[in-house]
This record gives sequence, structure tokens and C-alpha cells, in this order.
Amino acid sequence: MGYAQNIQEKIINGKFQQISLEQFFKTIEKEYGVLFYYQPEWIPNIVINQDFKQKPLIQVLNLLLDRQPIAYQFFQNNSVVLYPKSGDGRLVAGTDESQVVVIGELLNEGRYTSAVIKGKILDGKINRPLAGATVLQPQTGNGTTTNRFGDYELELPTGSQTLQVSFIGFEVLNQKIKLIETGNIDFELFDETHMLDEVTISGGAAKASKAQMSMIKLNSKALKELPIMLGEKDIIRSVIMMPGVQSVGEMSSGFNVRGGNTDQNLVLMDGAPAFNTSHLFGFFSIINPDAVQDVTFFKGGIPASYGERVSSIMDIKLKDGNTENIGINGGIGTITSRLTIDGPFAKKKKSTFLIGGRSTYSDWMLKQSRNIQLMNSVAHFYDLNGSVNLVLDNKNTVKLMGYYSKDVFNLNSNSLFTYGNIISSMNWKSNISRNLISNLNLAFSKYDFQLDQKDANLREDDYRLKTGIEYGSMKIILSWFPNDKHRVNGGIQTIGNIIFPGEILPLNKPSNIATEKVAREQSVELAPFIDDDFDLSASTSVYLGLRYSRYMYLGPTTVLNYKPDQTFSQGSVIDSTVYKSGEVAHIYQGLEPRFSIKFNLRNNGSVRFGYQRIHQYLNQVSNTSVISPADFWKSSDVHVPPLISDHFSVGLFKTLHKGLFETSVEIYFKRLQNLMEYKNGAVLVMNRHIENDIINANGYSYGLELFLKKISGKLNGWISYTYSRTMRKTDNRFPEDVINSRNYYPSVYDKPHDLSTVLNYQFSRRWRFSGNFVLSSGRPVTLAEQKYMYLDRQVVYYSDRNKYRMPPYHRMDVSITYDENLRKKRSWKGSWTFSVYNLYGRENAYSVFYRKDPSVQLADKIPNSMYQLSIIGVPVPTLTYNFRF
Amino acid sequence: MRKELLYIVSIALLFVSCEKYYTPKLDKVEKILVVESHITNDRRQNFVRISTTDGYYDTLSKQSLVGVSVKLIQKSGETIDAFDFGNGYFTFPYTPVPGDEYKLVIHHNQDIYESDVVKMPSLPSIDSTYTEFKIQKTYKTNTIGSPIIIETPGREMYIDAPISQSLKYYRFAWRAVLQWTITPPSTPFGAPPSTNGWLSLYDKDQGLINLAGPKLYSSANQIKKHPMLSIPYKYEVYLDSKEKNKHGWIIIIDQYGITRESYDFHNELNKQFTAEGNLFDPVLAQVKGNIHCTNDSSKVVLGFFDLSSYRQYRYYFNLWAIEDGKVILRKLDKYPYIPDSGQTVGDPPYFWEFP
Repeated sequence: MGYAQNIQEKIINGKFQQISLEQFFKTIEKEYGVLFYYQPEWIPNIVINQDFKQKPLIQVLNLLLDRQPIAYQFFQNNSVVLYPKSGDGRLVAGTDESQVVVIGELLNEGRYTSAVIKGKILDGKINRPLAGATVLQPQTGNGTTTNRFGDYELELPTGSQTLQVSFIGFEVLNQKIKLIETGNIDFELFDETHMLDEVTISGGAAKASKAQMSMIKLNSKALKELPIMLGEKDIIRSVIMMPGVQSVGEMSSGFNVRGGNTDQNLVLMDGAPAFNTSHLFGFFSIINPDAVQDVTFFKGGIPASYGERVSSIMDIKLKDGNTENIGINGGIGTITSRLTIDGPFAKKKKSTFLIGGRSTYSDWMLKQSRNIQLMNSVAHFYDLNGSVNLVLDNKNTVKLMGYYSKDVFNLNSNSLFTYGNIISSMNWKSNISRNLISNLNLAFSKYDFQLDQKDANLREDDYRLKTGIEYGSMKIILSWFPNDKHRVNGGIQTIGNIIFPGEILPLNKPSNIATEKVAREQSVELAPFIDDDFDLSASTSVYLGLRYSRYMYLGPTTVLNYKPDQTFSQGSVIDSTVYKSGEVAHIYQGLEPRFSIKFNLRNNGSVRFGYQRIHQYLNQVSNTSVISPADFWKSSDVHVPPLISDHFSVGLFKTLHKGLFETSVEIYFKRLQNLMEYKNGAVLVMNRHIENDIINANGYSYGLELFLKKISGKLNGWISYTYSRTMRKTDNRFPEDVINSRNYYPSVYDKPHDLSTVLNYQFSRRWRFSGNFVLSSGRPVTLAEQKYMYLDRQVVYYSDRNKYRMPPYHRMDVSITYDENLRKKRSWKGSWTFSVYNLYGRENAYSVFYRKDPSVQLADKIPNSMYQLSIIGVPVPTLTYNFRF
Repeated sequence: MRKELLYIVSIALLFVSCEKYYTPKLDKVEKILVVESHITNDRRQNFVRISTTDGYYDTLSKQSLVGVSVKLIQKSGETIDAFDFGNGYFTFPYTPVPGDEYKLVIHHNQDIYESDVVKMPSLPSIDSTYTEFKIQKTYKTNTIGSPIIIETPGREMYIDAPISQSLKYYRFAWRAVLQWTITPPSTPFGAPPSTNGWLSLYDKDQGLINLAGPKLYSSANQIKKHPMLSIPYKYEVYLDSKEKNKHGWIIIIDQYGITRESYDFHNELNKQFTAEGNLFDPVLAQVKGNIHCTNDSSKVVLGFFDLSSYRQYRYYFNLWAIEDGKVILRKLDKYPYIPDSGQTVGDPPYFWEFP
């Protein structure tokens, strides 16, 4: 803290009775040598009756000019400039004064250039101090975290500003303050929000006080502002707009993070995983946007408490429910409708509930397609979600969550696909002592897939195929705050999986179909972990973590033993080993170190470095290029080793123009071992020994990610660009297990250039516009390169795998929203949104393929040609009415 | 609102089909040897054709390969040298026997190519043949690119065939011969002679290879209701004159008993022909056969040594004539040669069939 110009501190003494303001200025000029500059007509005609004793001049002026239409400014240490207050830059334009917290006495306004604020950050629901919470001044990047008692202390420049207060799992609080002098202010955070509209997306730079990098906190103001696609906001789609995250394909909810496959992403709903995240061919994600409180997305720098998947963790926290009164959210659109109700239980106000659901009437949309297969298809889905949040006392809260979804679709008249998720969790938070917090998470997830295949000619040959997975997990985390500088987490996670690889059942009676079942797979993983997040010095923060993963593949199972000098095949089987129920058939284990370090730079920037190793024991078996509901999961076993990833990243983070812009540059390199590739013509469904059709591959990814965001203002948004490569190699011993002659080849997700831009413009109080544009390299593709005749038919021979590339992908979406009523007192708040997906009707290639027979699709097409298929080749307009009351 | 809707609809209509031709720039790559080999117990059908691939955008060449020799080697050691007709076309003066094992050996430019040893399946048979009414659906695009459905009523011919330990898989080829007549009007001098003609349709014009085998997960010991071909009621589409009147079809079915490997190979070809590039389609698979270069394992050779047993069935089929409440479908016990097309005046041709 320091004094401003000396003139401010000039001590004024004297009795000033019954004199005008102008006379007062003249007296001061005469007696104290202070010069006043002004136009006489600016000076209000008021009379002063005031005695001053040992008062600094600044306090005298603040007292006299408070509520007067003139302001002042000290000048050259001996002068004071007076001017009309309308031009006073010290007032925040448009500020609602009632929402601004003033710290210090108004008399001292302008007296100090900096000041210290102190206070506590509390869980507003139960008045509990939050250790490790963050207070940040985004404009300067200055920030700090609370100690174990929830206390913080932060030096800031005086003046009007907005502080961002946050804590993982709690709604971010943006508090406007007018800092005059050193003072106290406590903040309350709430672990729920009833206004999804207030969520914002921010890059890792917002977490200025931690070494965390490659993390996106999706907290959704920008979600609201993104174009609404087919009537709904989509959390996964908004994450895809960030650097390093790419879409699998047109209209797909699957996503690739830094070159990883879609099954390398762990999507958690209140701690429980979702094994299929898409509805309706991927047109919608399974996450009801009205039920989401916040999303934490790690594409690197994954904390030690997380494991299971090597590429990313998307931790979605669902809302607990409104503590004040019953609220209803919903939307009625042309394709889907949704409704969410939440509120407190009648007698116990702190305990809350939430229940919501969505349904679709999407068949009409498919009929509009120009693709015959889609035209003849049907698709429906619905989902239900609910939670109960019980505040047991001021130290213990328990949250129960449940989710159920069901999808039905067919892609032609003979195959009916049905799949669904059942997801549930229990989270028990407990304050054991002032510096020890426990968090127990129990999670269950079940995914079922069913295919009803009807034979075109014979009813007796109709059959049903069923696959699925059941998952259970218990994780306990103890957070310990030994002192102000350290935050230590330790715990253990136990995971159990049961996979049902396939079962065939007759669909009718009588039937030619014999019931057939592939033996289920069982496995258990134990993973103790510990980490410490600490400040090494004022400018250096470090995160150190270690996870030990021990995986056991359990019986009952029969493991085939193969000849060592031949590839795995039925012909190379020597004998087999039978394991009883519960017997350990194989163990994989390994350490997973996690490390990141941050060096704060001058001028609101930081440099960060991170490394992580993760083992993945569950992989999705799929030889389709996009995620499919039929793709089933496979446990690592004796012949299928776990996927191992080593991930290095380094980044520069900086805020510019007093925090108006946020920028980051990140470079990463990822090494992958034991990726799954497939032998030519592999048969995956109902395969009892899938190792015969799998090829072991290794690979690497690297990339450069650039991000620039304008945070506030009527015009805001961001632009992100990623240059990346993702390569694979099969360096196996036997020729049958080799792709592309042991040379590196691009992964199907290799899209070197990826540009995403999002722009929002609030052009009046009621109207807002938003748009986004994406441009990326086309996906690698294997094309027909040669041709020959066989049985009087033209046959083609394909190129090396993924040798060519599809045309570049680009698309623009726009939406315009009209808010009906902005009055706070009106309980019903409605808004109309008109959005257009693919504004200029770009026919982006979903796939390219060779086709011989034109009658399969369109009779007027030329046979023996290559075609490009676009799923959405026209603009798709949607009108939606959203409401809240 | 109405104006907005009209605007939206008109924008949507501006954009034509979501599927269009794709002509990427492709690399020039080295040609690959192709072996097409069909050996059956009917010596007249046996041949081996040796060719090479052409670039995707090139015109298919018919250049003969020089310095190629082809041998059929019986497992017992007997070697049968093929007769070279030029243009890479070879035949064998030999009829293989069902149940025996053979392999194909080719010498070309100091490279030796050998097939896997293949056991010739036992002779195939058809248990029954029947037809059902069916409407075939095809699609065309209209002037604004939207697909429109075309329905063609007709009769679908099905067969049932046995599944045994020695033979489970079949390949079919068919030829449908439409008989037509022109009967001139009577004159005061008597009835002028009628004209009797015929024309042929072939399965290869339909695109896919007709394969049959045990259905997925089925435990049935018979292939039942396997579709063979579809005959439309509207015969006029095949005839160039309204004076020509239908006179029934002669259906020739070539049935091949094939191995599991042959079934898989031809099934992969069918997948290639019917690829749609649609949602959740599998990643493209290279069609690889059962022939390998023995002196250089990195050398790729395409094609297949197909050793199959063979039997032909013929039927007279008249879907316009009803007999005992059923359309006429009669098995024929004679197998005369039928030219592709032709006509006679007066007496019908020697192979002519009557209802």
C-alpha cells in the first residue's frame, strides 16, 4: 500500500462557515498554495458549513464533492482539476451500484494506488470454509488460493474491478468490487446453479494459481451463446470447438482429443462413466444440458485421482437442485423437447431434488434426407435424469444421481438397433476436520446394446444379438491441507467390469437360430493414488502425483495357447488353459506418474510443463471409422495388453489488454503403445478369441495448439487453431500382422489443420447473435487405386491404408435469440432461438467409397464409380422456444 | 412466419443430392498380377486367365502376358499343363474329380505363384425351386435431386438347397431366356407363319455375385428360400416391338459347390460392390485371395483359385399363365445349347418350350 501524490495528503485545518464552494476553493488556493482549475458555471451553488481538523485534502474534497455533479483530479502535485461528473472515468460505465461491494471509506477514494483485501471463502450452503478456493482478478491475472481455513489475502490496484472466485465443483462467482483501501470481504460459493445461462468456457489460463494445464473449465455462458444445433445446446459439441479437440465426423458426438480414439475419453456424470455418449446416430449427446452444473475437461495434465482412459477426462457435474423454490426449465423444438424440475424438499430446505427428461420426434428429419438409407430409417430416443442432494449436517452432504436412456433406430428395414445407458452414483462429502475432507464416490454404469436382425426372406432366421458392459467403482479421496502452501490428495479407487461380448437368441418360434453365447469377461482394477499441489515459490507452482494401477483379468475363462513361431490363429493353437471363476488369469500393473509445473511470468503470463502416463484396460472393439452403438468393449487379457500412453506438453499462457484477451500456446507429444488394429476382413462380432483378428500397433501424436479469446464486451468469442499429426505403425513379427509394410501411416483421426472460431454479438438487450465457423483438413481415407476384371465384373484394389485424404471440411452455423422478458420480477422467462446448422449448405464428405451396383442407391448413377457421401449437405434450420420459471 | 418458411424451403431445395461423384487425384502405382481361375467338373467351363491391374482412371487393357506357364497339380503329384490360348487365357485338357485336392502353379518372369491346396467339393444339388409375388423397389432422382421410388411388380424365384458336412456353400449364376412370338393376322389366303424369337438376361448384368451358405447363427441343415432372380410382369421393357408377345422364360441356373474360402472371397467382392459409405460402415477391407508368390512374400498377387463342383438346372417359367392355381414353373430335363438371341419363322427353335 502506498500514498499517492503528496498534494492529496496536504493537511487542511480551519473553519469554513457559510461560504460558497467557489469561495472555499479560493481560500484553499490562497492558504495552501493549491491551484484549482475549473469553469465557474460547473461549480454548484451550495453553501459550506464545515470545520476541518488535520484532514488530508483528498478526504476534504471527497466529503465536499460527494453527490455533487463535479469530480476532481490531482494534477502536477500542486493543482486540482475540476470537471463535470458525467465524464468521470472512475465510475464503472453501466454498473448497477447495488451489485458493487465497496471496500473502504469513500472519503479515501483515490487516496491509495493499491490495497489488500482479506477474507474467507465459504460453502454458502453450510457455511463451511473452502480450502484451496481461488480468487482471481482476470484483468491482471493476480490471484491467490485460500488456506486450509478458507482464508485468503490478495493485493490489488484500487478502483472498480471484477473478481472471479472459484472452487472445483462450485459455481464460479464474478463479484464486482470498488476497492478504495485495505479491507475485508468474504465470499460465498454454491455448489449448484439454477442459471445455466451464466456458465462460461475458459482455458487453462483462468486457473492462474495452479500448475494445471490442458484443462478446460466449461462453465457455460459460452454454451448459451453457441449456435443451437437442432434445438439444443450440446456440451460435447462446445468442447469440440476448443484447440486439440476434434469431431469424429459430421453429426457425431464422439470426439478425438490430441489424436486419441473416441474410446480413450472418459465421460463421467457425477463420477459414473457413460459408455455411449450419443443419441440418434450421434446427432445429440446423451447429456441433458438443463441438468448440467459444470464440466471440467482434461485433455492433458490429468490429476492422479483419475485414470482408466489415456486421452481425456470429461467430468460433468450435474445440478443438485434449487435451494430456494421450485423451478422449471424446458424447451420445445422442432426435433426434441425437454423439461427439468428442481427445488427443495418441503420441510428441509437445504436438501433438494432435480428431475428431468428429453424426448424426440425425429423421424421427419430423416425423411428429408437425400440419402435413401436414411430416408428409409427411423430413430427415437428419450432419457431421464434425477438427483437428490441431502445436507445431513453442516459437515456432511450426500448426493444420489440416476440416469436412464434408450435409443431405437434402424438404418434399413431389416435391422433394429436398441441401446441404452443406466448410470447412477452416490457422492458423500464429509468435513472430517478443519484441514481434512473426504469424498466418497460410488458409481455404477450399465450399457446394453441389442440388434434385432430380420431375414429378408425367412422369418425362422430372424435373430437377436445382445452385447453389454457393467461397471462398478468405489473411489475415496482424502484432501489434506497441512499448511497454506500444500494441498494433498490421497485415495484409492477400485473398479470392476463385466463385459458381455455377445449372445445370439432366436427372435421367433419356430426358429432356425440356435442360442449362442460368448463367455463374459471379468476384471478388477485397484488404483491407489496420491498428489500434492503446492507453491514452490511466489512465482512457481508444482503438481506432483502418482497412481499405481494393478489390473487383474479374472476367470472363468479359457485362454488359448498359440505356437510361438506363428501368428495368432485357429491353426496355431497348441492347447488351452482353463481358469475357474474368480481365479486370476493375468495381471498387468504399472506406475502412472503425473507432473506439472508453472512459472509465472511478468505481465500476467505463465509457462507450464506437464507429463502423464496412463494405462487403459478397456478398449472399444470397432472397425468402423466413427463410433457406433454396436461397438462393444474388450478387457485387456492374456493376449491383449493394455494401452499405455506417455503424454508431454508445454504451454505459454497470457492475458492481454488488462485481461480483455486470453491467449495460450501449447505443444504436446504423445506416445501410444498397444493400440488395437484389425486384420484384413476381421470378424469382430461373436468372436470367442478376438486376438486372432487383432493386430498390435504403436503410434504417436504431436501438435501445436493456439488459442485467442476475447472475454467480454458486446462482441466476444474465440479462435483456436491446431496443427497436429497422429500416426500408427504395426511393427509385428508375422506378415499377417503388418499394415503398410511396417511403415508409419496416418490414423483415421489424423487431421493436421483444425480451425474453430466462435463469435457472439449482443446487439440489443433482447437480441443476440452468435455464429461459429470450423475448417479442418479432410480425414485420411483409403481409395481405389487400381482395377481389374474378375467374373466379368470390375473389381478395385485399394491403396495403402489411409494414403489419401478427403476434401477439407468447413461449416458455418448461426443462431439468433430473442429474449421475451427481462424483468426480474416476471417469473416466466422465455426466449425464441432460430438457428441454422451448415448455413451455406456445404456438402462435406462424410465418406468416399467405390460402388459397383448403382441400383443399390440411385438407378441413374454410373456403375463402377467413386462417390462422396455427405450426411448434412443442406442448411438445417431449427426454431426452439426455451422457458424457465 | 410464412415468408420465413418459404425462404427456408427454397434454400433447402437449391441443394441437390448429398451423394456425388468423386474424382480424386491418384498416384501412378506398379501393376499387380491378377489370376482368375475357375476349375469345375465341367471341362468346358474351365479356364485360367492371367492379367494385370490397370490404374483406376485407365481404360482396362487386354494385353497378353508373355512368358507365363500354368499348371494344375493334383495332391497325388500328377501335373496337368494348361493350354495357352494367348491373351493370358489358359485351359486344361482335364476334368478334376470332386473330393480330390489340387493346387495351381504359375510361373511368370522368374516368379513362382502358388495357390493354397483346395479340395474340390462334392456335387451340388437343388432341393426345390418356387416363386412368390414380390414388388421390386428401385430409386431414381427427380429434377431437383430428390430420390423417387419406382415399384416393379413381379415374381421372385427362390431355391432350397441342402447343407452337408462336405458341402455348405454355393455360388449361382443364371441366365433367363425370354421367348417371344409374333403372330401375324390371318389373311384370306390363310394364316402366315408366326415368328418365334428369344433374348437373354444374365446375372452378371445385375452386379452382385449370387452366394448362398448357412445363415449367420442358424442351425438349419438346409438353405431355405434363397433368392435367385426376379422376373417382372411387365415384359415389354425387354422387347423392342409391341407386336412381340411373351411366351414364357427358360431359366438356366448354374450351381457351383464352393469352399468356405471361396465363399468368403466372393462375399468380400460383393461387399465392395455394394459399399455405401454410410454411418457405421466397416473400414474398407482389401480383397485378398489364396495365391501367393513363393519366392518373394512381399509381392502381391490378386485373384483366386476357385475349384468348384458344378451342376446345371433348367426350368420353364411362365408367370403369366396359371395352372392349378399356380404360375407355371417346370423343371426341364434337356440341356441344349441356346444362342444368346435370335428368331425363327415358322417352326419354333429346337429348344423352344411351351406352357
